[in-house]
Amino acid sequence: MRHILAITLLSVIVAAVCPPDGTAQCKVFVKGACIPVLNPYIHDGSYQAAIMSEGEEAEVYKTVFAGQQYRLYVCVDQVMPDVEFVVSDIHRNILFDSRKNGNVRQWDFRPDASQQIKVTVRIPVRKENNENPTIGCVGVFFGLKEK
Amino acid sequence: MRYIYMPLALLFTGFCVTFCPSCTTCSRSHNVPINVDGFGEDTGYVKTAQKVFRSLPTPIEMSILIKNLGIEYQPSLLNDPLNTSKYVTHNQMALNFGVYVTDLVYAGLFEQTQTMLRYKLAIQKMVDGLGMSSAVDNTLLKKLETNINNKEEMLEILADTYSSCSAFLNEEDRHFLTIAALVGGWVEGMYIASSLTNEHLVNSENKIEQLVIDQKLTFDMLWQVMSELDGNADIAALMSEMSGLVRAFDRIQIKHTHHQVSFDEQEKTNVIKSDASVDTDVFAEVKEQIQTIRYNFVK
Repeated sequence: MRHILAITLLSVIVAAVCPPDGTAQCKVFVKGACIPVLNPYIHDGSYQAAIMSEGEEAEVYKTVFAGQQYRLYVCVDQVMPDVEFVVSDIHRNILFDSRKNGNVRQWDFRPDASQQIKVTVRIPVRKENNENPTIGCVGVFFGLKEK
Repeated sequence: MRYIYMPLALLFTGFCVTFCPSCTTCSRSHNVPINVDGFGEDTGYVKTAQKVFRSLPTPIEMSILIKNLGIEYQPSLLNDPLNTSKYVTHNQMALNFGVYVTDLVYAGLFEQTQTMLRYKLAIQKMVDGLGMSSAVDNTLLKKLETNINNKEEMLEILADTYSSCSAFLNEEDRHFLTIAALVGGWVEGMYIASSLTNEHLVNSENKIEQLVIDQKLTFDMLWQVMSELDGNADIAALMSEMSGLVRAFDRIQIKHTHHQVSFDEQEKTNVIKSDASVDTDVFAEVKEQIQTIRYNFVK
């Protein structure tokens, strides 16, 4: 009986200390909140999502092809602060900066030449909450338009 | 007393490892950390990023690119779903899982429902053979059957199935199988695209050559990921099989200058304008290499 109690206690401690699996959590979130926003573009099937915290930065490298129409969508958990993202080319030219465009979370574009682009996503720090940064799921998704 | 708690400690550890993977890792995806050397000059800037992903080519993307070329459906180019019995090793199964997903999406984009059902069964066999049945919710593939006439829904289900399989293989530390599936899907897309130049073509031929050649950009990323796993015998064998393609792609130089973004009112989209020069002379060589590699994958 004491063993059962001890195991139960340990299980409770483990459950409290370890948050639920981030991947699974992120996947559920992505499916419901992110992929539908790509519509009418078709999700390319690529899954770039991770648990991030305030102050963190992530980068996604992607090849885009000439003449194709793309939608880039940066998806963030509601608990997180507003996300910022910058799209740049291989020569560091900034193609899009969400901060200069009303902090939107999506960008539709068509490259006239195939190339690699980089999407840099930043989660700003909320000053009032520095000691306990918020963590949540952040995803970067691409959709293509079928012609 | 301490002997009583020894099994408890082991149980605790086991519980933590089994049910609490987030204790050691917060997220995984089929995209892996990138070696960013060489991407522009901003290495200092790059090094500040905590998470770096490569968005690798998926069978879905390849199929859409092919469909967007505007060429009619070519069923004879696809891998026969009856070939599944030939694939006995995990490596063969993973490669052909990718091949079949590309074929299914390609058929799906052209609304070939009967063909899609045959490919769905082929994919199911590969999923079972790779031990991924638990990762792919059975209802997911059934849902695919129910929504076979709804293209948008079908593509969403396939994207979901594909990412579930990739995540499962990564979590099982079978990254090489994730890569094999990606390579299989990409090679199948390249095979279909490059084969299209033989038939039914006049006007679109340049577009096809361009698409195939431009895949060098994607291939470079794929090759980098493979190189990071070259200690694995299967990946090393795969890389050796693809070495001729590397040589062909190495001859291609893609140069871009003067990027500029403008808004196209008619299309309601932003256009990234750039001067690009690409040498397409090596198309025939790339095509030949792809045909050989694909033959070896599906035989």
